[in-house]
Amino acid sequence: MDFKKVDEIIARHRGKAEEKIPPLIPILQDIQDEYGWLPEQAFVKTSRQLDIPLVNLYGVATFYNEFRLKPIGNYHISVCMGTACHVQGAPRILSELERKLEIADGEITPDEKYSLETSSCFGCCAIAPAIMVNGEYHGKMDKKKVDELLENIEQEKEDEKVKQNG
Amino acid sequence: MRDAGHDFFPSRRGVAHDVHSGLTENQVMLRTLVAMSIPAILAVIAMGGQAFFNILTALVASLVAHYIMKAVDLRSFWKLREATYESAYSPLVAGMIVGLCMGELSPYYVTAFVSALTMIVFKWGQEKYFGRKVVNPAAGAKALVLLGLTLIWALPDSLTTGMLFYPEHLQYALYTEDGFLGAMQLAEQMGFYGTENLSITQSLILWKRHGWIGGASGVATLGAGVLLAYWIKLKWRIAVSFLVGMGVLSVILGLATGGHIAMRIAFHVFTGSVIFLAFFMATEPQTTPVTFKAQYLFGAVLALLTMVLQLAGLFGSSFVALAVMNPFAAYFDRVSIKQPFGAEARSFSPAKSLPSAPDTTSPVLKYDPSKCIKCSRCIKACEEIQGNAILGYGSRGKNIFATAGLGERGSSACTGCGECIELCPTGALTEKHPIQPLRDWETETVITTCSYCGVGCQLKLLAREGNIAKVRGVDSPPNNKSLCIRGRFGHTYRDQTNRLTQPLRRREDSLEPVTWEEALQEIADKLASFEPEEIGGLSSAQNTNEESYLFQKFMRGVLGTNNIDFFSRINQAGGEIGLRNAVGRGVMTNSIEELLETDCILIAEAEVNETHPIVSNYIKQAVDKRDVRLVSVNSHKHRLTDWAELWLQPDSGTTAVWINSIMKVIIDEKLYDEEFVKNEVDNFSELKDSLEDYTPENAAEMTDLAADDIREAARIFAGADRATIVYNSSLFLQGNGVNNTAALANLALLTGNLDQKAAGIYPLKDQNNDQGAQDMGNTPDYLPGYQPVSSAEIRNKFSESWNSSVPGAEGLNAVQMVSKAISGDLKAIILQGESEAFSEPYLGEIERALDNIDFIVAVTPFLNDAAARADIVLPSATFGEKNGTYTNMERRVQRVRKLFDPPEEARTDWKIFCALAARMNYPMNYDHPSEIMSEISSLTPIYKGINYFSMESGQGMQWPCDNKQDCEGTPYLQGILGDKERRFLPAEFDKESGKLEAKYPLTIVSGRILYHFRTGFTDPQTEALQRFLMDPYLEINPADAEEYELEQGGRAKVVTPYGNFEVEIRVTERVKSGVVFIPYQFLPLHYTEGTYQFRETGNDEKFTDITVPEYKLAGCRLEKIFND
Repeated sequence: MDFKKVDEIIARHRGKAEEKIPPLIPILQDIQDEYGWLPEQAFVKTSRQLDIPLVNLYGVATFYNEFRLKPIGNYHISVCMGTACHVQGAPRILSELERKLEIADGEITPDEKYSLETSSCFGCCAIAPAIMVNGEYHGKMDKKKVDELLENIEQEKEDEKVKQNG
Repeated sequence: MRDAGHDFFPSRRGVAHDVHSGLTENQVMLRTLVAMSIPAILAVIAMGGQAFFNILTALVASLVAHYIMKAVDLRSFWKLREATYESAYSPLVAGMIVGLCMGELSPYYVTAFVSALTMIVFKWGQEKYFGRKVVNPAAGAKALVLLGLTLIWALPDSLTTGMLFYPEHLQYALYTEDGFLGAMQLAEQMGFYGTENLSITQSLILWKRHGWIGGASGVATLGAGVLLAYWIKLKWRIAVSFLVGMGVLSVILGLATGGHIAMRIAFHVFTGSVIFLAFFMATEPQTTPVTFKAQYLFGAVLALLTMVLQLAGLFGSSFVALAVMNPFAAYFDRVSIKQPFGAEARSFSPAKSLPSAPDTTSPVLKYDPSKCIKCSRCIKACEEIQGNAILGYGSRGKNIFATAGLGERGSSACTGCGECIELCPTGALTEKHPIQPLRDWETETVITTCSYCGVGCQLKLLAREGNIAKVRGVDSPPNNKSLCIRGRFGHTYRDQTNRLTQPLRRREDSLEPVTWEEALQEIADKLASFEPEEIGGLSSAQNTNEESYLFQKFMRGVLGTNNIDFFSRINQAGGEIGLRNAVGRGVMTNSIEELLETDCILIAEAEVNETHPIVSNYIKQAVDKRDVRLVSVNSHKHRLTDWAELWLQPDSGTTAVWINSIMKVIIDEKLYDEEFVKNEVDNFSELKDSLEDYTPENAAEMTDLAADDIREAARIFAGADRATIVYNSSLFLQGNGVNNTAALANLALLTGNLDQKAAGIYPLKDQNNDQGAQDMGNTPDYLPGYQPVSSAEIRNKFSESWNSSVPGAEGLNAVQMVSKAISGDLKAIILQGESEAFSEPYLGEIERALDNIDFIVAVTPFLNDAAARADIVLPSATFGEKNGTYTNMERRVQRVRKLFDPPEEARTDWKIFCALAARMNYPMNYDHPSEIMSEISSLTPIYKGINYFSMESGQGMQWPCDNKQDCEGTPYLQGILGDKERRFLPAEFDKESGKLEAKYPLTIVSGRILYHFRTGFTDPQTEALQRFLMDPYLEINPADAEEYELEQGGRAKVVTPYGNFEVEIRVTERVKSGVVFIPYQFLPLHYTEGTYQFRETGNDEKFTDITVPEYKLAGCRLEKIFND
């Protein structure tokens, strides 16, 4: 993995910051946007450059659910478990996804294609139960739509492959 | 693209999620249907129309149920949006299963009812209500129907009803031989078996019409099952385990009830429900365990339950057993994995990977979050006392836990000091090394002085049954409760395997045990046969003051020679000489604690945090709490450098240049203490002249520093009210070493930073009693208390007291002893103490010297390399086994206390030398070390007021304690020690001494590291330190690494003029380009070819009385080692 991007991100924030120490959380967010997760080397680099003990970075990263210390799949699925989604059958959606993907909540498939996570509330109760795939919302889900969704993803991947193969 | 050939029944749904089969659900269903058709067709052939119509009924009923459910919109009623399977394959399979496991004579309406029950209640209903299947639908439905049938049990005996369903009514108990045979025969009479040509057994296996449609042919069902197992990769482990289990139980039953084993197997395994269920129902994916182990277990338990129910006479017992067990499938999974799918290993979300388990990754301690009350004491201790700031909290809310680095202590920068353990109020943090967890009150304790570096930390040993269980800091100076990893975890070396327990004598090539009497007598006889000047004695800085005193008394008073030195003096001598004109002796002018009160600290080439962690703690605290200005000049970057306001990284070997240049700036800018210089110091003009060439610009060129940085450093240092200079042996273990310390002394004199509190010179001593060994006159030129042997008056004082005569001629130092031994002038040597002779420079020379000496006596606790060459080895005591005193580097005399007896026949050194002296007709009558200390006080002015027992409760005492009986010690020196005058001693930079051979492109800078001590001799036996670091490594700048194509973690051969050795590569910016760092202790230990030694240089004319070896610098070349 190339970690030069980390330096660039920190330099960018340093340029922006009016205070002496650039803001930590936006830097971590940008690193996560870049890599999809927070690799160990990125922590070490950030710690050294910002002169913040490593453990404090770890503390921040584990405090916020947003940050991830392990990679996610190409398709990261989060299932809303908020009250509205819950009464509309979110647990069954989760159970269906777990069954189809053969992973539990918080895991990644061995081929690193899919990862599954629950979330407390997406804030879109009107379309409950909702799930999110790579930041894209899918509302009023049921088992059938879950199947269709996964089917579409597979189809998408195949199309890409076909394209690549020429 | 998917493999079209494999995809014989293309599905609308392109997703292949099921990794076990690689098939879609519909494909699985179709294949199952096809496989089940085999027994179905056979059943129809065997049983005729009724079987056919029964199957047909079941199929039709389930299809109808399926479509009714699809058609009837129940969604709005239950507010559920889900629909069950879209296609018809699933109901067809369900119908087929029901059809095959109905009775042949079953009325069609019952079949239809069971089929509908299966579909609606068990298949659809379960999914709706539980979100998944809990019980196998067909088994559930059958079991429900059978429950109805069991009502028949209550009916009176009747051939048409009760008897048929309940053999006990016919008094056929299957668990007896008679009952079993009777039942078999009854079934035969009723025409349940196949043709007349088959026996009952054969019939059961091959061909029967005993009621279950699906069981017409056991073999056919088995075949269909195997085919299906191959086709759809069903959970065959359950089937195998179940059938084997049934078989084994049948055999056991057969044997127990007398014979008929084959028939038992045929009946119990091949009756319709068992063989059919094994493949078509018990392997259903959702209702059975996931893991392999659990599948085997599930099958076995199913077999046991089925057998029990069969013997109880229940029909369709396997269905009931399966229906009962299905809901518990998840519990079987727990048997082999706690979390199905291996959640821990593959989790990506921090919230899901919380270490609720204890953190045992650290080499020295354990953290159990369940005992942690989140009081933050460990975190504060790490940050504020040790200054490491490695600990912090992870996660949030109820999951919060204390951790280090990126979530585990093992891979973090934790140095293992254990300060956090000391302060943990609940025992969440505990030591790793104790043999067993012990409460404090279960141990014996003693307060003593640490045996590692010169700080002399006070520590409390807690021991049980002769083993050190734990070590705690004591809240008194010099350490005030803090310890480092060596003090807290490093004292296990006393238990090491090469511990000596009895005297040994050389017989030809081996050492053999002898008695103390024989050994002492032989030593006495042999030593008497040499001239005094032919005998040398080397002691150790691990001795107590009393032992050191007694050793030199033995050498001088009994043997009559001044040939006496101690192993590590060579590491201190350079400092000693350099400070002579400023301080008078090579001692620390102030107390360690005063670092907290000073205004500026200059660290000169010292890796303080590695060699003296407690001193480094004080420096960090001074910077953090009082904003003390820290200037660090180090060619190798250390952790402490991060605290510095100004860090200079000069070229190695140019120390004298930058010090002189700083002085030049101070003089030019008139920043020096004019009054002090005028009143106290001679020779100012000579100093001024000598500095002419050291302008910052010139110095910058020679040292690779920026001229402005030198000016800045000078201004910071001279601008401080009270400034302190800290250095250690790294400064003077160089060719130019004596000049370096002399230059620092000049700097202190120039700025007037002497004679006052919190301002002075801090030479850090390497070993615990370096100071004491020197104080006690273990040197060729001084008697105890720095009283020169050359003075007749002093000699007389000692001679009178000792009732012996002290020789007047100065003796040989360690280096001279080696060369005299090689030339044959030194014939006998006494190696006393724990140190290893092979820690000296010139390894090859030492080897030759020891080979050449006639008689070697080693008095040591451990059989080290030098002792292994001795003629006589006497086992002595080590840490924790002796009473006495140590003097730390701030001149503080502190008690050392005994907790254990020396093992077996080993004795304390002072007793050994008393006994030896007695054999040589010089009785020394001491009963206790305190008596030796009294003698020391009476003969040594600087120790005059020091009383062994008055230190008992207190904090020790700092000498000089002259002329006062109730002396309280001298925390900081005022005026020069001895009768000298203060004067500047210009220290020129010897350009040649730093030059290395041109053919070596890189310079090795050796240095010390925390986890190694002395030469690493005790460390290999000290488990805790060993766990931190065992393999030799080399640090190299990334630019150099690129040039030599070396990678982090790779290996390389280091080629030096003195020998070659292999190291692991660490790429780091802590060293500058052109320089590599190797821990000092790895240098002599790991050479591979030739003999390793550093050059002997630096005999400056001004300092002819000292030989300083070049330990610090060497040229080298790196050769990459390729892994095969």
